Amino acid sequence: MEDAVVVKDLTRVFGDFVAVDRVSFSVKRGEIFGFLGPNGAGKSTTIRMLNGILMPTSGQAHVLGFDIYTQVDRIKENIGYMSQKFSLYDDLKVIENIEFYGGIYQVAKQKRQQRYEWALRMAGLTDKREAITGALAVGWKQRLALGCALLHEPQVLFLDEPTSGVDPKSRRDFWDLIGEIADRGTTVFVTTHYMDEAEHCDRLGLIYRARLITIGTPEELKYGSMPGTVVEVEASDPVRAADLVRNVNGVLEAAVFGANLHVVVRDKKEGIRTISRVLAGAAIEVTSIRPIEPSLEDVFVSLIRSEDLADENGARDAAGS
Amino acid sequence: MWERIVQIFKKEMIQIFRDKRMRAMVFLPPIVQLIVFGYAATTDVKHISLALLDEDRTTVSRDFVEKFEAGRYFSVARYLSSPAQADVLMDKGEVDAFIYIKKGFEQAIKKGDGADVLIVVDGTNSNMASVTLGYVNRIVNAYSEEILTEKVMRLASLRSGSSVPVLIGPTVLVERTWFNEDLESRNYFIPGIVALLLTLIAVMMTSMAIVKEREVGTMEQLIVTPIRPIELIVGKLLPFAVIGYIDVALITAIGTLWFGVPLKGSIPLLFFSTAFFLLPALGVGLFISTISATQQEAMLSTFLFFFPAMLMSGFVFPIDSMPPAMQIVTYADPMRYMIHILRGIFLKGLGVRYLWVDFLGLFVLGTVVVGFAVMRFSKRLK
Repeated sequence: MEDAVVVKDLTRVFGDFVAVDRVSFSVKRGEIFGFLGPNGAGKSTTIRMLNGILMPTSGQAHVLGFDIYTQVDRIKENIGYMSQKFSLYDDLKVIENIEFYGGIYQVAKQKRQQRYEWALRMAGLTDKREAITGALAVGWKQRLALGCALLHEPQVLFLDEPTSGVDPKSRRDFWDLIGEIADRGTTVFVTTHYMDEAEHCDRLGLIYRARLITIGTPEELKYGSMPGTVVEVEASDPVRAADLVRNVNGVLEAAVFGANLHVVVRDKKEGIRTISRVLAGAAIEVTSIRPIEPSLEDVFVSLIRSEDLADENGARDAAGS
Repeated sequence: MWERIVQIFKKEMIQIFRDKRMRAMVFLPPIVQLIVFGYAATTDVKHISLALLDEDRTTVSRDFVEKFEAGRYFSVARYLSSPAQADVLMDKGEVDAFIYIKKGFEQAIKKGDGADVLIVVDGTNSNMASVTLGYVNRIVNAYSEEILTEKVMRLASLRSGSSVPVLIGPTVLVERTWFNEDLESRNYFIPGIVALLLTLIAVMMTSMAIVKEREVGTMEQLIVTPIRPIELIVGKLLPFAVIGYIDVALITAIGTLWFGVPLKGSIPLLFFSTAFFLLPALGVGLFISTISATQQEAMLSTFLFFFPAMLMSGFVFPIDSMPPAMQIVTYADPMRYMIHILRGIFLKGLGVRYLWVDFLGLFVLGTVVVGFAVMRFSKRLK
């Protein structure tokens, strides 16, 4: 089956400002795809182009095989969208909001009642159906908005910063919900700037200053983006150990981290073997030696840094020539 | 298509009638306007206070003064002893007019020579001054005629001795006003309030309701749904048409039953013409929503449209008195047609036979404005 979202060289320019710069990627059906990046990087602009709110300046994109230039209507019928504002009508009752969106999406008449009950249950608002929406706590509003966006059982669900301004407990609950929705086969396209949320995604794209810097599963990003594996060594004399290990073949870098030693090796297995042998030979006692996982945050920070550095160099080269 | 329109309509009605301020916007303005135009804002000139200086002090001069005091228009506020006193009173605005009867008034009349009376009117309010002068002229003419008739009769009976007097009178202009016999300004204004309020509701409430959705972010949510622009527009405008009708009924009921404004024409025609007027008015509201980012902006833009439109509509100032260039501009003002239709229906009982030009004007203007606004609105959605 073809991918749910296919984007090629998508670009959007506002005046002099390039909000999205030749972004290309695709989202597989049924996966949770995360669009990660700082505020203003171009996440929302991309999502808005895919939803038909905004016209691209150039480039191609298809959602569920429908062209975003010519088949916007077909796209809209088959997607759900929820933004950070949880665009509900605050002065309507919970059930009135649900009925309104159900009517707008023209949910089949015989299915309507069942879908409304489902949305109420999912949002945990079954006994608050008559409450005025504006009076609900943020977490509830968020789930009600999600329920409204899913009434028509869309194939792709777009979530634009769905958890901003929501407390940590509600955020966790929300991600559990997203997991359930994806398990039922709905493709989820979500933007966020929370690193911990990125871990919930099947695949991630990092967007920074309008450009897509990297894309992959969280594991691929953590290991693939680093030049080697990080090995943490607990040793009796870390300073001397670092000096010893640094000159060994296959070790890229070694540094003392608190009481421990962090060694970046080209090959994980061979690196560990070599380090153990060298340290044993020097009569340094090793209590533990194990590879450690770099956090996504570390990966992204380092990627963003190298991106900035490349930009600066580029600017300097341009100025020098 | 209808399903979505009904959904938007229903939602809008719930929102309007659940919001205390919006509810007030539906019922309060018509009542306030009716009170203002029914009671306070009257251009009728009554209770003109006079300063009187009668140097003649004869039965004839007293008789003359009585003519002023008899009617409901004048009342003598001050009796003066010298003309200089009048200056002060006029400056202070304590009196509106000053009548000065010089010594020898009686003698002059009895002799048959013309007798002079000086009348000074405060011209600060030009409208009031000219009306006052009109009243004065009417009273003086009536008085002269009386004297003349008396004289002629006496002469005739003296000559012929017969019982049938020969009447030779001057040509007399008989004034009669049609359609608003008492020249009550409320009869003139209250039908116009219908147009005034329909404009406010259709332009301000509509544009604010649309802009509010954009401000809150629900518009974006709607754009992502498969709703078509035309469904959204119709669903969004219809509630304000309904409210417009509620207000037309309210104004007509209070205007005729409480203020006694005549409604000579047909009520169905009144409601029919409301629809024609709502077309351009809602179009302007929709257009303003496309140029305003916030509700405040929408409100300001509404007034930028509303005041010129009202002033050029003939609601207060007659279009016939405007310079020709301005008169042409008024053809672009939907209120102009509606005011004419309303006064025609209320005061003259006119039918389509006489009003079709105004209906046509509204229809053409409405189609153009709505067409343009819908185009802009749909484009903004994309």
